[in-house]
Amino acid sequence: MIITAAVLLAVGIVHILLYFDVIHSVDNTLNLSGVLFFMALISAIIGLLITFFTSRISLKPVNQLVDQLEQLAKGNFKARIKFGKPFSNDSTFRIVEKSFNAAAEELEQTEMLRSDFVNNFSHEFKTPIVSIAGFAKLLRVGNLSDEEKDDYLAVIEEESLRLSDMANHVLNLTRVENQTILTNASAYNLSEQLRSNILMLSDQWTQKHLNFQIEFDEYTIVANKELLAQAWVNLLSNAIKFANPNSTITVEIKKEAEQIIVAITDVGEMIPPDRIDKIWGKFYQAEESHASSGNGIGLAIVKRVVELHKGRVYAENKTDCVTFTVVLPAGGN
Amino acid sequence: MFHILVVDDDKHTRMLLRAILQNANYMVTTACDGEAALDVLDKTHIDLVVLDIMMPNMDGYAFTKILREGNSTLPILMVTAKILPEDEKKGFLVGTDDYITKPIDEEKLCLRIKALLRRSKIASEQKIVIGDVTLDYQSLTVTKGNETQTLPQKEFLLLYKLLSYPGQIFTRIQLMDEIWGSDSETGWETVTVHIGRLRKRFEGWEEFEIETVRGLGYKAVKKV
Repeated sequence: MIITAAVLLAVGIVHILLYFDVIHSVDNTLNLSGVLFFMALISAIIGLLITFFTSRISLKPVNQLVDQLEQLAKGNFKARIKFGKPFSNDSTFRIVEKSFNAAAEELEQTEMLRSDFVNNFSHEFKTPIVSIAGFAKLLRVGNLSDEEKDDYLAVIEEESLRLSDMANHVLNLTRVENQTILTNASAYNLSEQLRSNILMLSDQWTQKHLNFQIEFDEYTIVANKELLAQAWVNLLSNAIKFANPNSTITVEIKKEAEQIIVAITDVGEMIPPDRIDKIWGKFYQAEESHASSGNGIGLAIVKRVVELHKGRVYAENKTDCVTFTVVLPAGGN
Repeated sequence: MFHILVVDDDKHTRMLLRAILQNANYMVTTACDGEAALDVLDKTHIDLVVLDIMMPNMDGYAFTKILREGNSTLPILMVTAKILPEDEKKGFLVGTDDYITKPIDEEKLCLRIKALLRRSKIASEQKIVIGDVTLDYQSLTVTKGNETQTLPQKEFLLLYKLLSYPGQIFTRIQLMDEIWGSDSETGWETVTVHIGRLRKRFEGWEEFEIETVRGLGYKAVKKV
């Protein structure tokens, strides 16, 4: 475009020069070398002028973009760009401005969440370590009754277990959180998966003398088998943990429209009604006093896995039991 | 007395495992990595290996692979901090017999070792003995006292599997996959039918019983 304009301009200027007798035509043919010389000179000047103007016009916003990108790279997520008036709302520049600012804001939010998480986590991690180190030292110093020794050792055991569970859960959570789209979905027998997962936990439920009430048909689902397995194990462990000894845990599967609904009910402690929505947050624990293993990350993992599958999960308190329900698309999303 | 080889690169873990296993009346030798473990196996008779995975020089997977490629059926129990399902799968694929994660629940550890040793004995002798009853894998027979009956193959395999893991629950699909093969055309209702036949055959026998666990599957229970 610029070349055509330049050529047209050059031709136009040559005509003007001819008109004003700056260059001569001899016998009605133009003095070729003169014309060529002037055309070259004029093209050069026009080219330079155009380059100068376009570089001046596009340079300022680009500079701003470069500067703010540098800020982002340094970790200052408050960087934003604002281009001046000359650009219309759908020019490329406006799009760049909007996208950049959106990205910067996302980074700022993530950073906040991350530092919250890190703070929480480091506190959760340090607390058991304080107990373990403290009681170990007390035990070495000595002068304790047998009962005290027993108690202190029990605490060390419990807190160590808690730490280890937390490490496992955080690993799982990180893996799950880093996925934004569901990969590796396949069709498989969901009923068999639930049965296998229940069997996997048999040590835990036989200890509490629990029964399982599971009468369901065979259902196929399209989903990521590994991830769903984690979700079931976490929900089942949760049910086992809060079930009264000698009680029954019921697991039901239904299919409605194109959705599969799995409900796990345990007879035991209710979830405090004012906190029923908060249980899905990381580090939430129903009872702050007792060192239950898992530190609440288990349910956060369940939520994330279900969301990845474009499903939903919720908990309900009923007359004397608690039901967790998971709704998933049957044929994949 | 059974001799167990403990392989782990962490000094304190070796110390802990030695203490736990000696308390359970096993003889214990330790090694700090796969290569050292192979050296021990060269010179000493070992009944079972408790194996860590993450070790320098030769890790648990490599060690297991070498053992299995050399046709050794030595029972291996992988005890490791690696918890991802992929790690467990890899462990079973290279040939471990069982897999538990750290931190070590000592009761669980000892129970698993006992089960592994028992199964290894069953595998090598191909016989299961419960009181007066003997199941012979080679001849597909069940002998009680002086009476011997030969069972149809699938019936025998089903009973043998359940009795090899007494008290453990198996789902119908798990049993079907293992005994009929997962590509088989038969549905798992066949398992129900076979269990029915087995129960009829061994009705009233005091040595063992096959229990139904509602909704889950079946388990064999030893009563002597």
